[in-house]
Amino acid sequence: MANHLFIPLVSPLLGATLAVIFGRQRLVARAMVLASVLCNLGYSLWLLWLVGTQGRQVSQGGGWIAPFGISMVADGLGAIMLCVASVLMLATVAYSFFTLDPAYERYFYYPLLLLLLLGVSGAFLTGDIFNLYVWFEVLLMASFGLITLGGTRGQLEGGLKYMVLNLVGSTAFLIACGLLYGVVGTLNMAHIAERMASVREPGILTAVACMFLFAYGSKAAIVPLYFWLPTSYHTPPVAVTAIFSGLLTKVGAYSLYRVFGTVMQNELQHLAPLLLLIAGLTMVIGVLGAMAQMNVRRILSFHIVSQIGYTIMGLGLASAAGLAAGLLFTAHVMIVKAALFFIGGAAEQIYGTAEIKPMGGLARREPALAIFWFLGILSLAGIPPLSGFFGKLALLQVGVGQGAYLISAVAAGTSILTFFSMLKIWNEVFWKKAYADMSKLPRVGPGLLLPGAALVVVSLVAGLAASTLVDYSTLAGTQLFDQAGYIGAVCGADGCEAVYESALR
Amino acid sequence: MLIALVLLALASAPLGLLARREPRPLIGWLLALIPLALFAGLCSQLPTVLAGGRVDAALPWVPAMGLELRFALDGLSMLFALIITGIGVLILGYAGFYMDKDPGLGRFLATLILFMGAMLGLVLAGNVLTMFVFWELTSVTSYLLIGYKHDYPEARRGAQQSLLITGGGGLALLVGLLILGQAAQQAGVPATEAYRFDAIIGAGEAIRQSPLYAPAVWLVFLGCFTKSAQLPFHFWLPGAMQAPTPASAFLHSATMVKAGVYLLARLAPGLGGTALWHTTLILVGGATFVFGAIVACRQFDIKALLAYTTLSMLGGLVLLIGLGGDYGAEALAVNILAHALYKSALFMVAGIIDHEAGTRDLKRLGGMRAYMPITMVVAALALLSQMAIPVELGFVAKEWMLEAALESPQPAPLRFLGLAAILTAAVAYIVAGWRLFRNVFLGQPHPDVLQHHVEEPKFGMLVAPALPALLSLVLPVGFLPLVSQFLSPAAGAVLGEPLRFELYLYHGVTPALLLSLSAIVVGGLLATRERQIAALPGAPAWFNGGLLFDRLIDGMLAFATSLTRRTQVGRMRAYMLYSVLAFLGLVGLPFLLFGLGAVRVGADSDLHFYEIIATGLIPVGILATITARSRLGAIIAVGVVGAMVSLFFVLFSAPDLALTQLLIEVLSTVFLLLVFSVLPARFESLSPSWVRWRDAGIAIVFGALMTGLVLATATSELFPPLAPYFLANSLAEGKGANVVNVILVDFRGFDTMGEITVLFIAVLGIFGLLRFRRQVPIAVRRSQHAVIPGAPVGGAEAATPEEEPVKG
Repeated sequence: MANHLFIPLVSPLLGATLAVIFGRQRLVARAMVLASVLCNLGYSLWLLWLVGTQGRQVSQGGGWIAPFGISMVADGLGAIMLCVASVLMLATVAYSFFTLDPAYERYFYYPLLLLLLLGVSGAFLTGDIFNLYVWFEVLLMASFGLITLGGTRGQLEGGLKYMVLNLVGSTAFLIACGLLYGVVGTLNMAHIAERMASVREPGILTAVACMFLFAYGSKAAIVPLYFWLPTSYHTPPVAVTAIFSGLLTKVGAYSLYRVFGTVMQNELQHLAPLLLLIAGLTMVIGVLGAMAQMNVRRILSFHIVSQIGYTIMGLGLASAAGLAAGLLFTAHVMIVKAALFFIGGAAEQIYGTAEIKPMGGLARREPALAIFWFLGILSLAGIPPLSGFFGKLALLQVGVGQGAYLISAVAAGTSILTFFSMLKIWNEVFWKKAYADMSKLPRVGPGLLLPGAALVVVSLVAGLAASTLVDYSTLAGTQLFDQAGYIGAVCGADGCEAVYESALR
Repeated sequence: MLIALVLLALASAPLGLLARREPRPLIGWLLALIPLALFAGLCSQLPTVLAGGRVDAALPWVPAMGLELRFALDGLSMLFALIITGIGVLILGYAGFYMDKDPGLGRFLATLILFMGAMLGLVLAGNVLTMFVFWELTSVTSYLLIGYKHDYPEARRGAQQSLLITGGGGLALLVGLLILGQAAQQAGVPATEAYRFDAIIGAGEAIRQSPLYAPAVWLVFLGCFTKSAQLPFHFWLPGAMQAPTPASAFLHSATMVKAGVYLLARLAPGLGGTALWHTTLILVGGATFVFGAIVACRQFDIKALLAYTTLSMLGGLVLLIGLGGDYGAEALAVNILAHALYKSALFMVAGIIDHEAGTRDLKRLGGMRAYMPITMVVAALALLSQMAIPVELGFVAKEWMLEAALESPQPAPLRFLGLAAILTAAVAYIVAGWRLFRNVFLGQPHPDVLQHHVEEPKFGMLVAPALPALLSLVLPVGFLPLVSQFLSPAAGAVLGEPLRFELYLYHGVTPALLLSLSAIVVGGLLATRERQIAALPGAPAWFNGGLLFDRLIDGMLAFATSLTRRTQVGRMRAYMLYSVLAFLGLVGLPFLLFGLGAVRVGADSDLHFYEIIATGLIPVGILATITARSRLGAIIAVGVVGAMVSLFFVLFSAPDLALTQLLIEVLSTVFLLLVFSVLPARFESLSPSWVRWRDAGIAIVFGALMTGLVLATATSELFPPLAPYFLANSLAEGKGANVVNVILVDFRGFDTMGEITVLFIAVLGIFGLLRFRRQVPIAVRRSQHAVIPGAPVGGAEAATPEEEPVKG
């Protein structure tokens, strides 16, 4: 029993509550928030080590034996995602400290951030499909609060679309849970996996699996379910967009990996061609959308969609190596994308707009900002030795190795288009001569620069020390694809069905 | 040793920033000590390499992916590495003088040194992935150098074109290399070694038989042709002349553009020998060779003229790899050396002229012999080598090239095509060289030039081009045996077997010599008419790779914009429609294909009439809601649906659920009434009727699908449910008789905690939403409206149309 798995849930919940209670004492509240995020970060690092050395960690909620209660499971995938989420949250909190209007603090901005972290952490650790739904609700609610906080017209309009389209996904998720329970008769992922493993032929469960694909796909913003994302992501403050870009779609992607990679492996084999098709379309349509935009945040938002395509490609390759490669890519993109939002946000602060046409001249004015931005886009485009190269290389290697040439070609082609559309920002915002007199514009302070710069440095270090990362993601991919091991860890060596039968006897 | 060399070069890049301060010219030569040290380090390995040996070094990076920092120094790598570091010394020193007034020199030199490290890594790499890492780095640093004067749109455009072309080619190359690795693995090479050059070359026989060979080679070709500016990707190279002249001299003539040639030469022993390989290389290389040479004769900008002769020569080198054979390999090595020497000198001379006379335009120069006689001599030495006039190194190189075509093992038509290309280019080179020399140094000075204070450049600047220009003369006259000894292992690496050859200036009257001399005679005759040749009508204006490429980009942007504008319409109705249609496609199709068999419909013997009534009232309520004309009517009708659902819970003995449902129904009715009190009492019909019918159809299909799904799953008897356990243990273990309650608060209490948290969050969110209004600065509000024409006022949405395609 690894009851410590509840720490990353208790800590943000407690932190959020205390921050609400001490809302008037700004410094106390901030200290609570920071302590809670640091606690999650420290814990997730320890968990990474623990899972790496001792394998999966399992705890049963309320002490009920496995298929009957709610299980918490941490494996390599969950640990990596938890860790990246904490890192991003730390950067976001730091960035918010420096950039945000104090009024946000009075209206529970930081508690909402922590509750978002709670929802995300819960989703990464749960071993129960309905419990996963609950965490989705938690993070949806928190994200809705964050996206509308500030109440400008654009925010409300974007927030409404965000909410409604996400509720469609959530509803599909809920219905799918019900339908799945109707057929399989259980909600514990390990138990579902065990029971579904015996159904080899495509049948009604394939339709149910597709419903999960729809539900998670709409969270992950795959084509054709991505419309909520570019509609809403450019409206809230930069810090919110950055953390959303790092976490929200990735929870959907995580769920796809968990449910199809571990739980419904037979269905994954059936759906693999469809997933690759979706992956290719998502990559291309996302990047085309980015090329059409002239606003820093919109361009980056469309790139989120495009890069989800790569993540789905890893899933569609339907092998442990494919999942590992996809995971490596996803972890990288979470960090770099948030970094780019932060740095782009700093440029936005200077000019007071995110439109790239009126900007210019920042390469001379803010060389540090320019250097980190350039490194960031290199990483995003997959140029060595930054982390993006390894994600791309891993995916292409597995794709070529498995003979999936078409999707590999699309992935390679998309990355040059990615580079192109990022260079557009570089050209317009940094290299182009400024139209106006720049001397009156505000300077970028260290608080604005550091969070993004730190994340870029993380990407660089991750690239230089890629061996550790690749080994860990390989471990995580193998663990994820090892269905029997998962069932054994949750329900014991004999499996869930044995526990079920002996309990009913 | 090798690792240290490469890493030293990369790590010393920040030292370039020293040149931000004065005295810049001195610091330039000081920084030249870095490449000098590297040059010396490489030279210390010469004995091993000349003896036919190889120096290896490897540092593991990501063993799981076969990625390592593996370096191997053989003859071919040595040739390139010495060129890179040797010319690097001259360029760094030269740049300090050339850009002595430029405050950005520090940034420039830092990038230049970084590039040099990357280039060194590229040619020393012993693993294709290692090579690729540095390959990309050279593309990126080249981008930064071309765009150095980024205030000018032309510089940005040139930089972007070069990066897109070489970067796109790089991706093709990456996929090609991965396929090669895959093919090597299929040939029995262990996965960890499959990406090493020697493993791939060793498995060459098996790879050539593999079906993966053709796609891999095509992709590698794409990578090499883009990097080395072969037709039809040549146009980025003239565009790259936006870079400051030292960068042009270093990257775009002597080193980076030869990376594609290097890779082809490196892989030739493994992948060569097939018709695909030789035919493609001869055709593409030959065409580029001739095209570049002819276009060069018509240029007016000195740098453009040099750029076209450079891309022409790159074509010549590719042609030589295509021709193959002993002579092909030897000629390749000689030509690489000869070209690096004379072309870097010429570029630096071009920079001197620009620096002193203030222009590079051949129409506005002239008579420079009076003002800078030494520069003229240097230029003449380099030009004579380029024109392949006897006793210069270029002459020897040209003769070997002709031998390669004459002795080529390729079938006759290809061989003669190659020969024709070489002769045509040789003639054109003479015209182009004469054109440059005459218009700059001879004749009368142009009035524009006289306004400048033109004088001989400082010694520190002049020495940089003078050295390679002198070498072009001194090497063939005095040191041919040494040069042959040095180049033999390089040629051997291209051929794939040890080789020893002797260069000579005169070896009796051979066909090659006669051809070479007759080309000089014809060239000389034509050169006297160079003005008329330049005035001949050229290709039509649209026939310009750069413009076509821009148009391709524009077309892609237009496509992207229209696609995005059509899909990202900004209306929620449309998004909902997409979502529902996606659902029908994603879930409905598999259900129709695989799930229909699971649907079981049969009369339920326990069915009571009140259940039928309650069920029947639900669709009635829904229909009434849809058709209601007044808001109040709609609210009431919705209430009926809710009430019936609550009734269901009662009928199936779930009183708590029924209570909850009723409560929610009441609350939502109250809310709806509150909201509707500020809206008009009656609905208005805004959609055309076909839209309503379409939506009705979609809704019905959706409802039918859900019904089918529920029927199929609810009647499933594949697996027994968990329910009996909860019934049995609710009282005993959960201490409660109401099973639903025990499930909610105990068995699955964790879910409930989460749901409570959701309510907590909702409260926080709504509080903020109601109370907090961020003030948007007026300037921002205005700019938003200004920038998004046609968007709904304050619209969050609407894909921004592009007013004009990206500049630069």
